[in-house]
Amino acid sequence: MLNIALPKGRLGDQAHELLSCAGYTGGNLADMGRRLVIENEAAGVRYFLVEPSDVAIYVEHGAADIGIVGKDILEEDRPDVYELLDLKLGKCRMCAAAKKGFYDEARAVLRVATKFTGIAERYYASLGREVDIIKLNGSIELAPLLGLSDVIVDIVESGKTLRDNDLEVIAEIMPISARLIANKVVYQFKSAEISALRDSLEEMTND
Amino acid sequence: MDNLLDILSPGELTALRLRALFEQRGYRRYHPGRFEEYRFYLENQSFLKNERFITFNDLDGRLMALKPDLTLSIVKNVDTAGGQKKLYYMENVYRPNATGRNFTEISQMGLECLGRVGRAETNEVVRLAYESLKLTGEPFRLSLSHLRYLAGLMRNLRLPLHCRSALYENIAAKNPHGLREVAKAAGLSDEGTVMLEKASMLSGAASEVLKEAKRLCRNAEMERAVAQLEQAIGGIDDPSVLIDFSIRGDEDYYSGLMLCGYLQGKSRIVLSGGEYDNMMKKMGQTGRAIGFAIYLDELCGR
Repeated sequence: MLNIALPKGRLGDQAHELLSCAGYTGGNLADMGRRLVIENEAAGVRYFLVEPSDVAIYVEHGAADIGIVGKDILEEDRPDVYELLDLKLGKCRMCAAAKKGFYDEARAVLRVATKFTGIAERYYASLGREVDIIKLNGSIELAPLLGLSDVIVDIVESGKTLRDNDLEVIAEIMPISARLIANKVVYQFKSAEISALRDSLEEMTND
Repeated sequence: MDNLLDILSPGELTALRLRALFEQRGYRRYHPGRFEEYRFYLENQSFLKNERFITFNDLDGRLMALKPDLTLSIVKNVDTAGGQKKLYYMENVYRPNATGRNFTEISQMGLECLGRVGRAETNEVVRLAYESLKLTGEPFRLSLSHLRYLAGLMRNLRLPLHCRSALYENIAAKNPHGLREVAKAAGLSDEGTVMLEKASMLSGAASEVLKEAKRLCRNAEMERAVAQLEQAIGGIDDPSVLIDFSIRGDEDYYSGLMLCGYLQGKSRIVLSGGEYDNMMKKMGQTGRAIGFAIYLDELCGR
């Protein structure tokens, strides 16, 4: 039996659809109601629906054997897990953005508003740029508009929210997509099952 | 007083059994002190993968630290000139916890063979790691790797030094797509990338993986690494012994063989170690060294 942590929401639904096509269905997730665990003994899988940012925590601590998680969360939290496959789902970009026409003269400490403080810190450290990181939990685009920050670091999907708020991408930090992760200890004991699942998913994502 | 052992917790009993195992094989208990000068750890930060220690001022003004690690102190303090030292320890070390917000006390046992270390001693230490895991009575895996195998391949593929740490990061995460991206950025050919991916993702039962690892050898350095792995596990015929080239170690300290132990039902590794000849050199010691640490808190499920 493989214990799989799936993120609640659209990415979890897409991932489950992919897993179902590969023969690992947990049934109809829409019928789950408030249940957070669903099991399909015949397919050898048990799914847990958890907050997207908690998937890697469940896997790292061995509560789930494997999980599906965004690369943004892996880069931010750096959990000690195996990253077995790029599922090519939920594709977007981690970007730095600012008000249109913004130019960083590097005269003063750059104020950066973001939910992804680790990614922002490492990115600006790699550029040798001194920054003041302001941690926000949502509506990041508001920060430069209100003068709270000079730039933001956030996930950009279509770019519509940026355009609607007169902001633009000033740098692309990294591409983001969903990844299949595994607990390092569990992998040693269930490597055949996990590899079989990984290989089926790889075959499907390569189509 | 017949059932004296009954009053011991499972953890204490396991520690006692491990002590008996090590003593029977001629290893003697070593009692390192509780602290070292802070600057000693500062100079060896890359080995410790951490820069935060519990510090205090000694009465003479020197800045001291509670030990975050014991191997470093053993290598520094034990005289191995011309001889061989077989030691084990059972002490607490002090490190930041997983959240990085607090320090934690970690109960650790370890075994080290220093000085004159040849094939027989290497094989003996690997066997002791295997037997240590086995005596827990739980399903276990002992994985071995050899740092010179992939280092030899990267040399053969002429991969520039500056991209190797990014490659190793992806190898340690068993991340083939990340590995391919870094290899492409480094200008590696398609054929070279396939070769690197095949070799670095090799893992599984020792007998099968070693056959494949041998087939993929491209130079003497890789062949020597495979031969040393074969010698190290010689005589242990158990499907619980695996080869896994994703196991890494800092090459400033570790020199070849690496060990990693897992118990079913635990979320973290319970045993780790390897050959650390480079650390011996760094500390001005002559001879070679191999050893491993067992994390008693993980092993006994604290």
